Amino acid sequence: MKMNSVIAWFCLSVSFAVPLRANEVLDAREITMPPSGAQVMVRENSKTGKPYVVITDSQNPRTDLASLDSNKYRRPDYRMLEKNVTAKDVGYDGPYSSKKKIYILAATLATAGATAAVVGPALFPAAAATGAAGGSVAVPAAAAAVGGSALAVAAKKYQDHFQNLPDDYSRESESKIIETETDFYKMFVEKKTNKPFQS
Amino acid sequence: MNHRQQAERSFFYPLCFLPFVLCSCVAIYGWNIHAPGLLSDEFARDIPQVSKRVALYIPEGQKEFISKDKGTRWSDPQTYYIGEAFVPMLIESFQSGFTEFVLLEALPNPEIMSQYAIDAVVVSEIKDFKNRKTLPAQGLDVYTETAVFNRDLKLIRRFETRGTSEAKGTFAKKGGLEVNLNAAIEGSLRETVLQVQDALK
Repeated sequence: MKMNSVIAWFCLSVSFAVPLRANEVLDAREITMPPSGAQVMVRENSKTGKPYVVITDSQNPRTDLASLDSNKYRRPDYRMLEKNVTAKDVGYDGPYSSKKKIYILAATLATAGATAAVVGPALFPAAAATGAAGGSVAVPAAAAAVGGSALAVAAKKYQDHFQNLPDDYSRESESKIIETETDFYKMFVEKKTNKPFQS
Repeated sequence: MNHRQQAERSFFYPLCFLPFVLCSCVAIYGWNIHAPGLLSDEFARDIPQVSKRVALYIPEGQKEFISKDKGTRWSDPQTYYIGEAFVPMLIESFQSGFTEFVLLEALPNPEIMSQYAIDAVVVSEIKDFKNRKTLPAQGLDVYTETAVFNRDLKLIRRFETRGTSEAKGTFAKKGGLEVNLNAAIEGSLRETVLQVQDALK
């Protein structure tokens, strides 16, 4: 029903651009579009189920946006970013990274009789606790000898900012207008080498 | 078994695993952060809907934008799949911000704009991503650049946005990294939609 209504409003609104003979009423499906090579369709947002209109080029259809991730999660609740609030408290059911695979690798190597540096989970629960806070799972001896001082330098660099971070989270946003005179072709058609930056 | 055989065996197994580990270091040892890719309830509550017909054109490659910025030299490898969440959230933000939203997958031209009576076309893309990480906290910054064009594809407004989310203990909690990334993306989209609405007044 929703898709039909979306198609109907769009076709009816476009029909005002098409000259009509007096006393003629056209059904939405009978409107003939001037040939521009574009094709109108309705697609459903795979995450929300809300439909939207798509104008696509039938000669060069784009496929990258059609294959949206169809996992349906609950909307994120940013209270989860507070210090003592867990995913369970807010009913978070979205994706998450797991450190389990790191421990599986360590256990595999340990079982194979390796004398390499990675050790199993039973041997560094304390390091796991610090790792949970700092995101570092490393060779205990190496970390103590080398990583300790580097971590201290990195931590001091942002100390002034993060030491005052409240236990609840901080979110901010800003925008800045760029003064320039250009048009779509100069920005996106002529300069095809201007690819998005990837860090 | 003599000592030499014991020594050979102790080095054999690590060498077997070493190429595998080196080739897929991040997959085996590291963090792959995939945000939910959905706006929170706050967005629809805070951003009013404007009665305009607006088209959105998303340049090629946006969905594949990733970052391996791990914040500090000694951190675990991290891969942030920013584009994967940005694209659906961008579409959803425009669906929420405008009563008549059209996704333009064809390259915009004045004929399409006049045929479908589209007031403006917006082009938005990710420009940068920063991971500011310390032991207790993490701050993520998502930078985008957006341009708004009229029916003749002349520039109305061009602007940059930054969305930032900072929180403590994101690595410690399930979904913390993912929600932090989602919040940063949503922040940049909030500014994007507000700027576009202001440009089309």
